[in-house]
Amino acid sequence: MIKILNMIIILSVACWVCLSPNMATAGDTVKTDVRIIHASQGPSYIDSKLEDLAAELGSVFKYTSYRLIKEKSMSLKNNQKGVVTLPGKRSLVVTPIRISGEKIKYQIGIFKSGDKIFGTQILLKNKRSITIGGPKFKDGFLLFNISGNVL
Amino acid sequence: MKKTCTTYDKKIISEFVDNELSSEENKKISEHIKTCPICKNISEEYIQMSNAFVQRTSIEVEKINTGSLGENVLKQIKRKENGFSKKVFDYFSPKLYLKIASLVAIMVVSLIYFQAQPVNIIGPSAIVNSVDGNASSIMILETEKSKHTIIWFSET
Amino acid sequence: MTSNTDNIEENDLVLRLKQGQEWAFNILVNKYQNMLLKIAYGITLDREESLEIVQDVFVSVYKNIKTFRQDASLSGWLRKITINTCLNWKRKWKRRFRWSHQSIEAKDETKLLRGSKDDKNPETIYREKQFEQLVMSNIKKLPEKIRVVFVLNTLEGLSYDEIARHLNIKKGTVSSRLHHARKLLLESIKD
Repeated sequence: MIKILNMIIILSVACWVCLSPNMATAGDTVKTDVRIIHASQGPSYIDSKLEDLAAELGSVFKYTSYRLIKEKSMSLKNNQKGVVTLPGKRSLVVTPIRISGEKIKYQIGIFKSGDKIFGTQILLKNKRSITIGGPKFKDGFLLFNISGNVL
Repeated sequence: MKKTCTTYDKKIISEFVDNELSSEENKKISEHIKTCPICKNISEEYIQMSNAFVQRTSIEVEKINTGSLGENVLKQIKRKENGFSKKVFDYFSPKLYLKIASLVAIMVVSLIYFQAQPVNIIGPSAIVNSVDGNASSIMILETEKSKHTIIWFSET
Repeated sequence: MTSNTDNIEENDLVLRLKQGQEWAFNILVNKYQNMLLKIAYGITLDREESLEIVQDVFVSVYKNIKTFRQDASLSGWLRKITINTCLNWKRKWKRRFRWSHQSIEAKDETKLLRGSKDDKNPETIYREKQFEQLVMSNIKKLPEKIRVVFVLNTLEGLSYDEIARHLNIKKGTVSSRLHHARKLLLESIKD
C-alpha cells in the first residue's frame, strides 16, 4: 500500500514538473506588444490604456501627460523582426533572439532615416515589460514600452 | 614644464608610495621628490586617489544595513541543513497519513497553479546585456515599486 | 600584525566554529563583516551585491570551516573566499545591470560628514566629493584583475607579497597591475 502511494506521489510530482510552463524548454513564438507614448509637461493627462505604466513612470519622470499615440501587437518567432514605424522618420525594430519559458532575449534598435540611433540587447522576463526613451517629439519625448509574453 | 621625470619612472613612484622599495632606494627617492615637482605631484596624486577610494568606500559601506546580516546568514544555513536529502529521507518513512496529505496538497497546488500564474514581479523586469548606437548618453533605471526597467538615451 | 593574544583568540574562535557553536559564528560575523563588505564593495561597487556576497561568504565559511587548516590567518582565508565570490558573482542571474546615480547632495552623506574634526569649508568638501565620485566612476572602468589588486592594496593595505600570495600571482605582476591601475585612473580623471 505504502509503495503504491509512494509511486503515485512520485508520478504526480513528475507530471507537475513536466506540464509546468516554467520548466518548458525554448518556446517558439512570443507575443510582443509595443506601445508608443508621448510624454510631456503639458496639461495633466493619462491615457486609459497607460494607467498600469503611468504610475511607475511617474515615480521616475516629471512628466504630467502620457498619451498613447500608437500600439502594435506582433506574434514573433525566434529571429523574426518586428518593425514599428515611429513619428519623425523613425522606426523601432524588435527581434526575439532566444525564447524560453521564463525569459526572452530581444535585440532592439531605434533608427532615424535609416541610421541606428540606439540599440540594445535585453533579457526580458516573461509577461514583463521594459520602457525605452526618449527621442524628442513635439513638446515632449517619445517612450517605447515593449512587453513580451511567450505563447 | 616637463611632463616626465628623466630620473625615475612612474612605476618606481608607485612602488615608493606603497613602501615596497628597499630602505636605500626609499631614501634616494624621498630626497629626489623634495626637488622634483613632477615626481612630487605624481606621488601626491597617487596618494589622493587611494585616499578618495578608501573614503568613498567607507561611506558607501556605512550605508549598507547590516542589522540582520548575521540573522539572514543563520537562516540560510539552517535552510540548507534541513535540506533536500534529509526531507526526502524523512518523507519515505512509513507514515501513511503524511503521504495522503502530500498527495492532496500536490493536487490542490497543481489546480491553483494551472488556473492562473501570477506574474513574477520580484527582481527587475529586464536585464540589459548591451547597448550601442549614436546616443550621446545612456541611463538605465529601475522603478522602486515593481522594479520596472527603463533605459533612457539622449540622441546626439 | 596580529599579536599573540589575537592569535589565541582566533584559534579559539576557529575551534568553536568547527564545533558548530552558533554564538562563535555571531562573533565571526560581527568581527569581519565590515572588512569583507569593503572588499566586496571595492570590487563590485554595488552596495546590494556586496551585502549578498558577504552573506554568501559567511554561509560558505560555515559549511567549509572544517577544511580550514589554519596555516594562514582566518582573515586571509575570509578575504580569499570574498574575492573569489565577487569574481564569480557576475555569472549569476542575480546580478542586476543597474547604474546608480550618486548625488553628492545626498542627505545621508551630510550626516556622515557632520561632526567632522576637519574644519573644511563647503567648497573644499564639494571639490573633495567631486574628486571621490570621479575616482569611483573611473575605478568601475578598471579591468577586474587590476581592480582586485588595487582594492587589496588600498582598502586592505596589503603588501605586494601578501597580494601575490592571495591571488597566486608573482610580486612583479602585482607591481605592474598597481602601476597600470594608477596610470589608467590618472589618465581618465584628467580627461
